[in-house]
Amino acid sequence: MTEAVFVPGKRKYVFCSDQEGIKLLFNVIEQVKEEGRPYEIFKIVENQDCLELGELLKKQKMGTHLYVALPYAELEKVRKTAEEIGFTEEETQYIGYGNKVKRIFCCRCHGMNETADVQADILCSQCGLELSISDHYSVFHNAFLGFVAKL
Amino acid sequence: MYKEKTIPVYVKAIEQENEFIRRFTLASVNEELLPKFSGGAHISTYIEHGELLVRQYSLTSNPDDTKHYQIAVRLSDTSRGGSRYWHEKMKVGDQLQISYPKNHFPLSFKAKHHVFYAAGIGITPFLSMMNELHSRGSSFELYYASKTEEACAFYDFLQEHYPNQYRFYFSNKRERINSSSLEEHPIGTHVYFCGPESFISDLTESAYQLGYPPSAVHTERFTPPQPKDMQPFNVQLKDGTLVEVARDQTLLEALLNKGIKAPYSCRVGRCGTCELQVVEGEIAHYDSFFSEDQKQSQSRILTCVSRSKSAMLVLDV
Repeated sequence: MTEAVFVPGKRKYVFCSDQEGIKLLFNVIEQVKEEGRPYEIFKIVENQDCLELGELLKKQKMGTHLYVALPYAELEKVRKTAEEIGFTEEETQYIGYGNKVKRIFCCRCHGMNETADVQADILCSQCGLELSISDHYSVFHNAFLGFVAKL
Repeated sequence: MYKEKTIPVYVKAIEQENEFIRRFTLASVNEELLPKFSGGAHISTYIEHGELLVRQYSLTSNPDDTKHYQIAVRLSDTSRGGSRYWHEKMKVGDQLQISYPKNHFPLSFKAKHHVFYAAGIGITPFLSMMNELHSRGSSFELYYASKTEEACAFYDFLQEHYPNQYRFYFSNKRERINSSSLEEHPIGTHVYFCGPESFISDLTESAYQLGYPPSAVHTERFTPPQPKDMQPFNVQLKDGTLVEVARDQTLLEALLNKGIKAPYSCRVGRCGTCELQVVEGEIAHYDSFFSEDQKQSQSRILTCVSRSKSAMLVLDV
């Protein structure tokens, strides 16, 4: 997701971002203020672990909506924390910015690769197989399937 | 003669739970093990008594115990024969057919915490669900409303097995389940409602107002929502046959009475088995199976609960 969308009718809104990311949430925060709904902002500083955020998220009650805006590389850590606590897809929006790195799952050795250029084929960093990148995405692995480029 | 595969069973034991509720233990006629089931599952029971009485009951026993099934039947004030037969005619040793267990009310695998809201006999599906969660070591709690302590089914059982996980509300003591408890559930909670229609719809509405996502709200209706004023209507089949559906009859019953082999299973508008194509006429949908879009397309009907707004419905059968 590249843009935060205001979801009306929630009892509370929690925003989590760094200095840069907060700009991406600005419009939604304004709308929440206009509606007079309770909200909380959690600022993440660089390389911070998720312990403190986890404590905050655990305290939330059902009906809370969570917005997270962070560099793509940081987003996954927070997503994992929130999911473990019980936030579902319907209750969250993750907005990434900056360089997007895709994870590629090797169809032969099941190794995980990362690439910024999704057009080109890659060589699996573990088994050396040349992989074409499909648009088949696995939520479980958070990765796209890489399949045999040349038979 | 039955539309689905059935299992022959006999009544092994009958216990009076309270003034209105009896528990029946069923075992396979051949003393074979019964199929395993999951928490929240139910069976259809088939009783031959002049007409064929088909009724659905939640399985209240331990899902891992496949030697027996147990159901709890409340004598309905408006019994159309089912619960009355169970209460007045059924004896230990009697045989009947049951369906394989089906589950329209399963536990969420994603939930971090489960909260059950029961009113009256609505407790029944939660018994197997709590059993399953208890053996998994998962966290849950029960809010259970009943008229009185005496009418409260499984009162002793719950106190003995889940001493710290229930709260009773007795209306004779002016205690009521209040939707404010929905405000207190931590993130990751799934709620399950079972009881009379108004109980379910009030709680569901309160949950949505707080911002609960639809996937975290689960409901089980024993009876489908029905129009206050049921109107008779006619249906026409492809070969021109005309079937009259009386005021107090479902479309499915009318079709079966005519000897038409219409498919069906749950009979409460949940499973979708009885779906038929509609060529002409305006459908009044009362099921909880079709999506809003599907309902609006006016092209198919669940015959077990839905009716016609127009005087005539033309079916593609």
